[in-house]
Amino acid sequence: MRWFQKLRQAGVLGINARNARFIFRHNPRRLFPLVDDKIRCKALCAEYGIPTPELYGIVEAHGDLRRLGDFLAGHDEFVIKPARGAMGNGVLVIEGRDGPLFRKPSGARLDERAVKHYVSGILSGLYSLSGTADRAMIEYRVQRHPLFDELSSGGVPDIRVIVFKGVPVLVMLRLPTNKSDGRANLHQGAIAAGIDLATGTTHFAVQAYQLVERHPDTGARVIGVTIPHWEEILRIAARTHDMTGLGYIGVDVVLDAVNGPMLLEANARPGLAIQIANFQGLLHRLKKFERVDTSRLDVDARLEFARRVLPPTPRPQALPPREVAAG
Amino acid sequence: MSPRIVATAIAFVLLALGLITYKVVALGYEVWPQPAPDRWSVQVEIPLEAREEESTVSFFLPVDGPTQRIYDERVDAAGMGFFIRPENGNRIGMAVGRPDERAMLSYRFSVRTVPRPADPLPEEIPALGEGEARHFAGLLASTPTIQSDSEVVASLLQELAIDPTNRARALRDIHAFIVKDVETTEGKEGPQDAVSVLRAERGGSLGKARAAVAMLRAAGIPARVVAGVPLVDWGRGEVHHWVEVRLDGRFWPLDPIGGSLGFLPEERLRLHVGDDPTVQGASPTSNYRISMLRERETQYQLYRRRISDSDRLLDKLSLYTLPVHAQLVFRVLLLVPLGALVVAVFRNLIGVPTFGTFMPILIALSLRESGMLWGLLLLGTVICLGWFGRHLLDRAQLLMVPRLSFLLTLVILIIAGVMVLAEHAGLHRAISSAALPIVILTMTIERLAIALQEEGPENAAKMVIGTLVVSVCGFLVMASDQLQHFVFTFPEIHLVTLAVLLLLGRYTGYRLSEWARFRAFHQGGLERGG
Repeated sequence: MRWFQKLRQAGVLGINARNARFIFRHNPRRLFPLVDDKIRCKALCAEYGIPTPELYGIVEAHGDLRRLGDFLAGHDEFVIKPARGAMGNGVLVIEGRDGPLFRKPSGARLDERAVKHYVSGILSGLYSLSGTADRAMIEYRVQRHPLFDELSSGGVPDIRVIVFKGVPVLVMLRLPTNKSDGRANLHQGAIAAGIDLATGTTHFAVQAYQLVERHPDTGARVIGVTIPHWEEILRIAARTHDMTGLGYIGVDVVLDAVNGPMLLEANARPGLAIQIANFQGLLHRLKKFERVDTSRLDVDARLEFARRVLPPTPRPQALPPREVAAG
Repeated sequence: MSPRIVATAIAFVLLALGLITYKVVALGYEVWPQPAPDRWSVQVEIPLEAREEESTVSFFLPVDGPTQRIYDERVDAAGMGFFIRPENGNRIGMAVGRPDERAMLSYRFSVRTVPRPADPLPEEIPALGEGEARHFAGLLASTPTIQSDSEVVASLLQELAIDPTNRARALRDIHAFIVKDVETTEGKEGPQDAVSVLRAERGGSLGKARAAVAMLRAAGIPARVVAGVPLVDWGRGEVHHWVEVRLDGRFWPLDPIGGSLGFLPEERLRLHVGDDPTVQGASPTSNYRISMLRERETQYQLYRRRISDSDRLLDKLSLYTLPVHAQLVFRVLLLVPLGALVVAVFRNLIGVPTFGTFMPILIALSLRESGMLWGLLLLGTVICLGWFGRHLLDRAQLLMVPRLSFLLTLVILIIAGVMVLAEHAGLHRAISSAALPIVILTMTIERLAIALQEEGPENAAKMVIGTLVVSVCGFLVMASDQLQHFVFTFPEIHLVTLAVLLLLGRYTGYRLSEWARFRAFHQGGLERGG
């Protein structure tokens, strides 16, 4: 079809092709629970020595809710999330306390009853992928790295790495905004900045399908930012492949001010918006590794391989606002 | 795309086409149903007056004949005794007893009309023979309302120079006179006996029929008045009278109003022979009402009859051999794959987001029951009220299962409430929407509420609109009676559905929505934001 000719030339990966060509072929169904269940994933990380935010506790059943208050007494800030949630849904961040009340980053306050109700919703499977009963996990609240203080409002940015057969292929930085309510979800208005794989420097940024150069809330430049601990971030992403055995994953890494890079979660059905954030199609890049056997290469060899084979991400020109529609 | 998948898909399509072709060519199935002989459902209602003493109401019931078959007769005699008495080839229904205040005598039946070819009337028929005259004495006699021995009739025949030796000619002349020279009226302006009508040269359907019969009898042509009702779609029936003449060994119809000779201008239910009033004994007599509607006997019933008698293998394997209630189920079930196909096309080729995978099909099925407008209106009402209820419920902070059960109960109560309101507003059409998938509706309200909180109103609205668009498209596909009939007669067409789904499942190209999503790539850049 002529309509899609340019997309095809740019190597844009569509959902149908992603599912049929990469997920079905490289992600065996039986391995999905390893990443879909974040508690299992965390346990696995501990085994492999991949750093993750510390797990404070697990709420397994409604019966445990009575003891939730006592349990939380030891923690002033923490994150509650469903073990099997999708797309960052159902995450409750508590930033601190005001007497008996819990304070969210937005400034809203919750009493203990509201928190219990929230956890009960998680247990009932409200946010779970399949809608079945779930567990709630309470974990360490990642401290924002000082570099990102000017680059995000509300929440903590994360770095999404698409890893194909153990090789990092495309990377973006997701920066929460006021519009996204402190969350790093692109379709809710977070900024997505493409990162050059070789240097770890952002080269492009979009928000709601529009090119941005500055963070709308802080005014800081989002392009040209070099991520610290870059090598380590890529190594965590690449090793997540070894850990899960999944061939095509999206690995979310956060940068903690104290502990450095940590694996937040892995996704066996990673989204496609990363292509827009980088102004770079995935397909051509993935094709380069489709026929290569990477199983015998160690992490360093794979990272080296990626730098050698993948082209540097170009810096595209921004179009003046109106001429585009005419052209 | 894998060649094996393509080959399988092609094999499925060829197999389906082969079976359909065989059924059409060798077994004589028809691809699209043809209209079958017409059946009518007729209802006669006679209002009764309350009386102290016993009274009798009698009315003519139709009889089987060469032009009609009567079946499924049902009488509601309003508490009176009812019996049927045959008389001179007619049937008279009699209700005897004391009717209640505002009682209504109702008689319903179905009639199948048998079309008869219009034969031309012979050009010459000799004068009435002695034996014939004796045999048809009843059709030649003078009566108080058909005064064939009257002076008026005789002088009129003379004036018109009617020649009784060629009765075919005489018949045509008399018919032409009655049709053209006697003015047609409502029949209420004066006595409607033959002589009065001929004197005044004006009369209604009964009067003109009587006048024609009187003149015909005087000219030696056996004739009688017939009463019946023209059958019109969704119509109110009025009793018409026409004439039947006995010539050449059979009866020929003559319409003194429309002027047709040898045939009737439209389908007519024949009620009775003779010029007696159709209903007697009720008062006011003229108040009775006849209504009718067409029952189209479909090809479906014809197939059913034919296939149940057939020994051929494919006939034996046909869905028409199932019991009727199972057939009704499968007529709907076999449409569901088409709905699923619509969903697959919208989701995988176009990329429209919907609530749940099969929610749109279930909505489309319920729209089929209720009609699109009512269904959508009800759906919108229930979802809005349900969402409002869910919103209020949010404050109570209930656990999920009790909350969903609460919501489910709320949805059922809302539907019940809307139904009762619709009934009082006289919107009977809405009632059948009760088939809405209640559990799925509940989950939709829950997911809508969550989507509104988590994804924001914009994304939630996209999903609502997507679900509605897919539902309506699914409905448009599934609503076609012709398609339903086709799929039921040729269920092998679903091999084609399977083939399309196989190909669709292996389609790795872009979705239409991705053209917009990745527009940056065909524009060569992005628009600069604020």
